[in-house]
Amino acid sequence: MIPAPFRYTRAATVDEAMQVLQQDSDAKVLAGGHSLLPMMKLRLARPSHLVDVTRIPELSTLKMSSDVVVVGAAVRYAVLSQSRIAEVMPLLTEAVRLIADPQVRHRGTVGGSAAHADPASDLAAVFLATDALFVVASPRGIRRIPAAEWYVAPMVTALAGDEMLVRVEFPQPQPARQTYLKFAHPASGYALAGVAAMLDIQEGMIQHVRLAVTGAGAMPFRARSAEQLLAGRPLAAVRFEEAADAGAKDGEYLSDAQYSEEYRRNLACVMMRRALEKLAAE
Amino acid sequence: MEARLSIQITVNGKTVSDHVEPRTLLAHYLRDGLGLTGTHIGCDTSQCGACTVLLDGEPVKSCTVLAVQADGTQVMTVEGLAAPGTAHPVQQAFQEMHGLQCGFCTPGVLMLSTWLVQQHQTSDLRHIRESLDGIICRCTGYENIVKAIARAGELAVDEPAAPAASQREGVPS
Ligand SMILES: Cc1cc2nc3c(=O)[nH]c(=O)nc-3n(C[C@H](O)[C@H](O)[C@H](O)COP(=O)(O)OP(=O)(O)OC[C@H]3O[C@@H](n4cnc5c(N)ncnc54)[C@H](O)[C@@H]3O)c2cc1C
Ligand code: FES
Ligand code: FES
Repeated sequence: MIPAPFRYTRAATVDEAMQVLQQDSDAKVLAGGHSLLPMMKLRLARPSHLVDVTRIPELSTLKMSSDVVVVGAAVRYAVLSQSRIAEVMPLLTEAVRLIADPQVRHRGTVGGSAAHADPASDLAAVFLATDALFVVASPRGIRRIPAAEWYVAPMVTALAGDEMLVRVEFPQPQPARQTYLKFAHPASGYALAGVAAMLDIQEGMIQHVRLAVTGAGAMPFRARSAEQLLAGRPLAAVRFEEAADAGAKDGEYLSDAQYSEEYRRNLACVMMRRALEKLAAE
Repeated sequence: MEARLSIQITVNGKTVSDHVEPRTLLAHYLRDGLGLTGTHIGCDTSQCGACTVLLDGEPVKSCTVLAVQADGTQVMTVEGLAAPGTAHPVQQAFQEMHGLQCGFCTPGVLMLSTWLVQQHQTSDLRHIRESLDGIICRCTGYENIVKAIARAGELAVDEPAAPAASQREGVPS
């Protein structure tokens, strides 16, 4: 299968990429191409112009400091999983290692995953749990979009047509205990439920609980009800089952030919409980 | 049709300059443009891995990469593993362990395996199995593929380095 014809520009700078996006409203950014090209081959997408952003040096940034971890939009999963970011955000590298297969991980990018906004994207749960900030460039300048506002609808983000994602910022420090657990669809490998979980335990008290779920719901979501039930409570007195059950109710679920709404909610609950139990036992 | 763009790719050690339509997939360019039909197209939907080649030393599915995206890179296909009549340690291991049946998936499997060997990631069978996630083989049941990859790791330790890229064959000049 061959995509419909399009023009191709390899941008050297963010400005150059933005120029193409501005000139042609049917132009699209090309990163790893592992969501866009399959869609173009099936003619589900027919952009007139692709702007390849993968060789813009700024988009390959990886930086760590005491108050922020910066990941360029074109950083590939395979690069991230080998990076020192595992030391401060094991959650992120754990999640990335569970995406697809080695070949896909050598092409797919953090920014592509964010901009594609598949409601089962593994990184969606990580972005939401960490309160990541999406740094976006347009002719109007730079703006930062919080993760909570990024995912607008399935495959739709808060990004305007002439905007591009430059990097993702993860505020630091994050809670020390972190994990990403995934229940993968046996055929596609996408998350039927993926849970990003973080918390601290100080003198037997649970603090700073962050829980987000991808795949199970119609949209990825933050399980704030679970966070509220757990934060500030003694570890010995909480019931993770109960918290996970409340948290799962923060999502909206749809039934389809394969999975019922109840099954999906239950899966979100079970995976959240497992993630919490894992973190408590660390 | 959109204007052709010029590309320069080093394929199996030989640099080729060409003009391609932006929509030309790397898999098609290798097969139809260069006649390197060892790279197979199985699913054409990024699932099966038969089209796997090494791009700057890393395994990628060439049905999901544009030829223009490979401009300026080094590509290695199954033809680049060894000169005709000789076998790369990975090929030798697949022969010894019966790691193939119909052979359709094999070019992609060999390229992924070569990468695993180069990365010294062949000692843990569980890791080998996980690494085969992006490979679909309809024949072997994977058991012998896993054994062959483990064996390839052993052979590569014993063998001298592969022939220099420039001595390899497989690219029309
Ligand atoms: C076989 C297979 C299995 C997969 N399994 C999983 C999985 O288990 N979990 C998972 O999370 N994902 C999975 N994916 C999807 C994969 O993670 C994609 O790589 C990812 O969704 C898109 O990243 P990309 O860099 O390839 O983006 P592209 O395909 O290049 O782009 C995707 C979209 O984002 C836009 N875009 C890209 N970069 C930018 C930018 N900087 N600014 C603005 N817009 C931009 C593009 O215009 C396009 O609309 C799988 C893909 C395949 C092919
Ligand atoms: S042909 Fe490329 S993955 Fe199947
Ligand atoms: S040997 Fe036949 S598909 Fe793998």
